[in-house]
Amino acid sequence: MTNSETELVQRCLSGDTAAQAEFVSLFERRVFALCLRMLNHRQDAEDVAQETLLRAIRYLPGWDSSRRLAPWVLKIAANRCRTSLSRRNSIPVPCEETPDIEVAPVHVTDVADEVQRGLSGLRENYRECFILFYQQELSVAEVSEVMQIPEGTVKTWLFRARKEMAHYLRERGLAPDES
Amino acid sequence: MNGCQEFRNALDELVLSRESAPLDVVRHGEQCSAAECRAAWEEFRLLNLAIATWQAREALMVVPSFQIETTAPAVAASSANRPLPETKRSEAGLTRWLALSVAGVALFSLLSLVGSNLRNDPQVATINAPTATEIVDPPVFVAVEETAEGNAAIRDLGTTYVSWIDGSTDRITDTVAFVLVEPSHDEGSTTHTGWLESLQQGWQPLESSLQETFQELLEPGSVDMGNAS
Repeated sequence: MTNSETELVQRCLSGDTAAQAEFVSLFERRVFALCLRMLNHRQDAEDVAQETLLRAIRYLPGWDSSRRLAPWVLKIAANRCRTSLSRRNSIPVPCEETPDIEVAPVHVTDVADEVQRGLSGLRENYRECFILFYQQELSVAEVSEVMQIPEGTVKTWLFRARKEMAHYLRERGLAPDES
Repeated sequence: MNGCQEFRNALDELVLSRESAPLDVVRHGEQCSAAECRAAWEEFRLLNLAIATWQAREALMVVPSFQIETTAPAVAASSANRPLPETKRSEAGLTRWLALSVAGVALFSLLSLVGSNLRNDPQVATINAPTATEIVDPPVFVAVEETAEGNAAIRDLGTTYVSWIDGSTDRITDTVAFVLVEPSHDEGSTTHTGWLESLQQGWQPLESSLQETFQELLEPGSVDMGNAS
């Protein structure tokens, strides 16, 4: 928790629309990135991110001001993604393997693509753990809070995700020297 | 770095802390001949580089602009009890007064129209003969047959209502007189009596109006006939 976060939340709660817009711009990137990687589908990610931001503002009165705001918002996002995934799993439609994200050509690398593909092949909870740790750069304690699992489980899942990722990358012919 | 197990534990710690490998760990990883250490070191380096590349691309992700139009329930609920801003309050008051004025004008117009009809129309009892359509297709509501007996029954009913209202007004004025004219307030009774007289006088137009209305009800069609003539 920071003073600026508390102040922003208080302004949002007072109905300040500018503060709410600020809240959205503060978290939209992280929320959308998490949704995109968890869902692997841009349109779904946009929908879920929108819903997440809306819910976050709606539920701000329930935020514990002694904790950081970002994990709390990402927890809502992760929950919405899980709900969306469970809905999607009940429908036998193949999801897109390659997300249509726009990147600057200079940064497009095979390695990044391979990591993304490897990520798509991970079990759902491993993937979520990996994304929260490496993409959102949350600490183990924060991942534990977001995923509502013990820290020991976070570590276990993270190392298993790394193992599977390394195995996949090696199968794809990647080695440290090549990357 | 004393042993292979310590080396592998150190790698795990580095993963969780996101720190760079210190020199002794790097040295062990590059020089140790144990297969497990070599594999662990290779995996560590591979993932560090791959994830770093992936993270760099993630940072360039194009994010759509989210426009959240919120009326958060918690906020909305709290603001519902909050007094309106001055401008909104004046707008709300203006709207309320405007609505009341319109309603008042409409009511006044209606009463005036009914009153003028009752005053201007000749009180002639006219009975319209039922048309063929009325005979073939009787209306849904209960139509009283316009016979001599029916009219007499309606007239009796109207008279009963008028007398009931008349009696009610008398009872009200009597009750008010009884309450106000008490022995302890004799000195003010003169004033109250004058007021009561004016109250009774005030009832007169209402009574006559009601009587006219019932008369009109007893003799339907008189308005139409009056206009036609």
